[in-house]
Amino acid sequence: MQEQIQQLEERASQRLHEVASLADLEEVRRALLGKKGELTALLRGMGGVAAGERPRMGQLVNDAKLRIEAMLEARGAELTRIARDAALAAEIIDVTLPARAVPFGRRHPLTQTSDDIVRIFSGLGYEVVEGPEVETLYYNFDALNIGPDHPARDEKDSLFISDNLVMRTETSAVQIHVMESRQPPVKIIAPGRVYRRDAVDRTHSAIFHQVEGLLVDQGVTFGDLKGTLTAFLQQLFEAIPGGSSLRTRFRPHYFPFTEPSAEFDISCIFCGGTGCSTCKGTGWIELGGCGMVHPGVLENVRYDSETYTGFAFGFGIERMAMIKFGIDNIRLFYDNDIRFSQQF
Amino acid sequence: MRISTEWLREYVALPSPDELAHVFEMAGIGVEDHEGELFSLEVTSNRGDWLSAIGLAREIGAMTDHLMRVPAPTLSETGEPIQGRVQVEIENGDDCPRYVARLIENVKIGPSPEWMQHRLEQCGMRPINNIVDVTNYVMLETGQPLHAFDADKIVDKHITVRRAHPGERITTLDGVEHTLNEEVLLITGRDRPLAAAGIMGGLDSEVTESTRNILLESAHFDPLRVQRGKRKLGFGTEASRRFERWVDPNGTLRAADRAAQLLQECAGGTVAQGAIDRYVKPMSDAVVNLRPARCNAVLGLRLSTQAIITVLERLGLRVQRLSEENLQVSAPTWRRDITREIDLIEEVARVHGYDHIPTTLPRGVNIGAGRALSQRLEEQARSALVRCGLTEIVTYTLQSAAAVERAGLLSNDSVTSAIKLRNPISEDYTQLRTSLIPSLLETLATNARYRVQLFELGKVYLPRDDGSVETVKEQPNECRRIAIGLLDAPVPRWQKGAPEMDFFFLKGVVEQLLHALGTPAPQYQASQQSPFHPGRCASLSLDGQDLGVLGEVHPAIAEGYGLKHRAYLATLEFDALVRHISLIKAYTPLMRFPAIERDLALVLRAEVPAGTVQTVLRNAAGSLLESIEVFDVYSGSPIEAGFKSVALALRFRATDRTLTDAEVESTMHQIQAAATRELNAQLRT
Repeated sequence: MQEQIQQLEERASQRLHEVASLADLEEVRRALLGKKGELTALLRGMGGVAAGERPRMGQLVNDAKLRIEAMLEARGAELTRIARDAALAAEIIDVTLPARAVPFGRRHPLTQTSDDIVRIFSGLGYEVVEGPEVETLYYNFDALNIGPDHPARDEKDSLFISDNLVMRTETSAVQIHVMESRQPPVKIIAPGRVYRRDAVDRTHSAIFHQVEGLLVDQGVTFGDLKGTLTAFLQQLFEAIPGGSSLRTRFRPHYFPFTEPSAEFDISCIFCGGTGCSTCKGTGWIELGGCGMVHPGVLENVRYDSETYTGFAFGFGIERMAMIKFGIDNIRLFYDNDIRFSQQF
Repeated sequence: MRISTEWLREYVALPSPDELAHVFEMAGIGVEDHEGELFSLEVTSNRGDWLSAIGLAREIGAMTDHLMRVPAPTLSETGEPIQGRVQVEIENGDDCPRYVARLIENVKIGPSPEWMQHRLEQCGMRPINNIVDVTNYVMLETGQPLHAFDADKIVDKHITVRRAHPGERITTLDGVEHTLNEEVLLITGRDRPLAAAGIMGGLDSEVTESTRNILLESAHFDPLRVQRGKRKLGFGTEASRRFERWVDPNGTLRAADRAAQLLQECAGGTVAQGAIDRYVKPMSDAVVNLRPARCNAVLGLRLSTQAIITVLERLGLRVQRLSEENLQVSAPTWRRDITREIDLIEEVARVHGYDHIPTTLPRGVNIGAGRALSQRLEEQARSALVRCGLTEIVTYTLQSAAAVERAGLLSNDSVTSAIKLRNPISEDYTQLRTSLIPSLLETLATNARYRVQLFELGKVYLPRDDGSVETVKEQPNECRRIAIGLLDAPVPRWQKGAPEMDFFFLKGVVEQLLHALGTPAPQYQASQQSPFHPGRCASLSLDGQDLGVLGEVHPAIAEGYGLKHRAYLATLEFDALVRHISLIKAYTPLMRFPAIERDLALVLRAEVPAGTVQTVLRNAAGSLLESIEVFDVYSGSPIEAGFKSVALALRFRATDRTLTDAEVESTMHQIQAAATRELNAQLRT
């Protein structure tokens, strides 16, 4: 009997070693420990054992059963691990394949730049106003001191709709609407689309965006105009190396609605002012026009041009964005190629 | 205006070319480029006097504080007196305030001296012969355009300055015949027109090889008249460019004398004694007062009265000190741009130097600073769409009728009555857009190779007139709209789980947007309109007001744009949305009492929209119903053909107590009754 138990244990160990799957293992368990299993058969054979021997033999069979169960469990754990490893091996992915494109929206570089400009002037206390793009000749020209025979009123320079209506050629007309509706102090900026009868090339677009600024109050000086634009430009270009310390230059110019008038430049932020292809070797980049509001313009809106003075300025948003992002072709803004848009 | 420093140095001391470029810039004269001695300058339209060597030298002298010297013409008039031999009549002194004529006889036509040819070429003018060259040279020197007639081709040497008769013709020097109208001012002989005044001479009275006697014209024409004449003729000249910008009426005689002197020297002519000088409308200096205190207040300077006087005198203005507080300034007739005090203040700023005006900041606060509400809502909308993964685009606001047609919008009334430009630049941009869809579809086409999600927030321009576009008088209604465009594209096999782009994704984006703006839930209704798929398009409204449309692009339209995969569009009326936006975000207490949930499956006719089912059930449920959601729609066996099953999850809750099953059961009965009564629905079991 004792020998039989020993042989059973040895066979069990041998069979468990050979078992390759959890299903086979279950079969082996049943063959050993099941109702018709070998160990059960051994226990049934206890009847032939001498009565005095029975407790000892029973003990031996039980011990063997525990050991076999432990072996089954160990082998089961081992097979489970092997099976999981195999399943995981089947799930290997190539981690170097491209990522799934998670849709990530972006703002257009022009509206981003417009926002920057608006944010800076909001901080300086300016109010943001808007006006119509289809403007009457009075607001677009006459009220801005642009008389009936000024070249800007020529059919070849501006886009007309009728004898009375024109696509606004600058956002300055918004100034007049605002000044007509209230008394000074007036402190506004007006961003928006403007239209010129220009052929489109790398730096010109028939439709583009402008920001117009206006401050009318007592005691406003030309020095204040210089200071305001300098502070603004240093903030707008602060992210560009040297941007926060850029220099400004004001050159006399002629505009019908300002006097004194100026064009304003910044020291070239690409070469630091030593001369490069962007600034055409001059060290300066031209940005826009400005000046003290012409007393005639103030009088057109019935302001007392003795009590109040003011300044106005205007510049193109495209131009600012081109400098800020290093874009060399204005058409890219309107092509809306996603490969361009996703860069900002 | 091109000029060499060699010429300018004749009148005034000059700094180095680089320094001179800076002087020009800071005077307000743009330097387009300069190579050593030669400057190419950009002159603003208010300063005709800068279109001459002497005018530029005067400005340099003022800016650099150097005296300018211009020698007076030296002339020996050895011929017979001109009086009685030449007649000039001026019909209207407003058109031609002054006309000076000189007679130079027995000239010998030939080339002009080399120094003169050289200077003309440097200024970009082609030498022709000694007579024409002298007139051009004096124009460049003094700014006064001159014209030389062959005196023997003018009947009785009698000249009349008058407007052209309608239909009258002239052949100009360039050989082109022009038909005129009364806008054009003419120099005429007894028999025919001799020149278009201030623009170009006539071919008939041109100086030729055989010319012996010259009648020299030095006149002042009204700038507006020359401009109108130029517009009628369709071209301008160096002469008209100067007349349009103003030529000094008190410089005509001197320019004629200078030209006569040079004709004598270069063509051997005899100058007739005297000149005809018809100065019918004499002009004198402008007198303008200037208060030094005002000047300082505008500029932010503290200049003394004496310093201001010095600056003005450097410019050639004459200053009389009425008092310490008030100066009287006379501006010579070559400075017609100076008409009021601010013009003098600008002169002080320029000559003192913009660089020397201190940089300061204005005072004061502005309570209204920053963006207005509707502008902030634009920001919110843009931000919401970007967070949904959409990329913003900016497109042209001008478009062509062909582009509208391509987008399938031609049948739309508001689109066809678009406002047209009277003078478009090209046929691609002829009218103001009335829809954002055409340019959005074009942008999808640009990016047709990719899976893209785009939006634009921009204006459309809706006519208020009846659409008879030739006579549009009223400004259009400029409305803001939002357009959304989605374009599907196949994804690689290993990315198959990417969210599906379909109508309901688009609807999800629209709802996120409305949610971000705080608008109430809108109503959707199946709609059929171009350019959408007839079975996959919905209109969107709120309280009966139309808010927009969303749907799949009709395959025929998509094909026209070369879109190979399904595309989806939405346009929303932003201005209308804004009126429904509630900015109040009120806190709702978190629910303390439990909810009871019930599912309901109804079988009803397939064409009944799920939205209608929800509305009917919600109306029947009363206040205990918290939410109702469709979670399945099924048609097919065992449901009878033409019918469908709609499964809904309903949640009931009371805010003040725990609901009982009995309460919910009674509500469910009401709901089921309404479903049977109003929808002909049966309970699916």
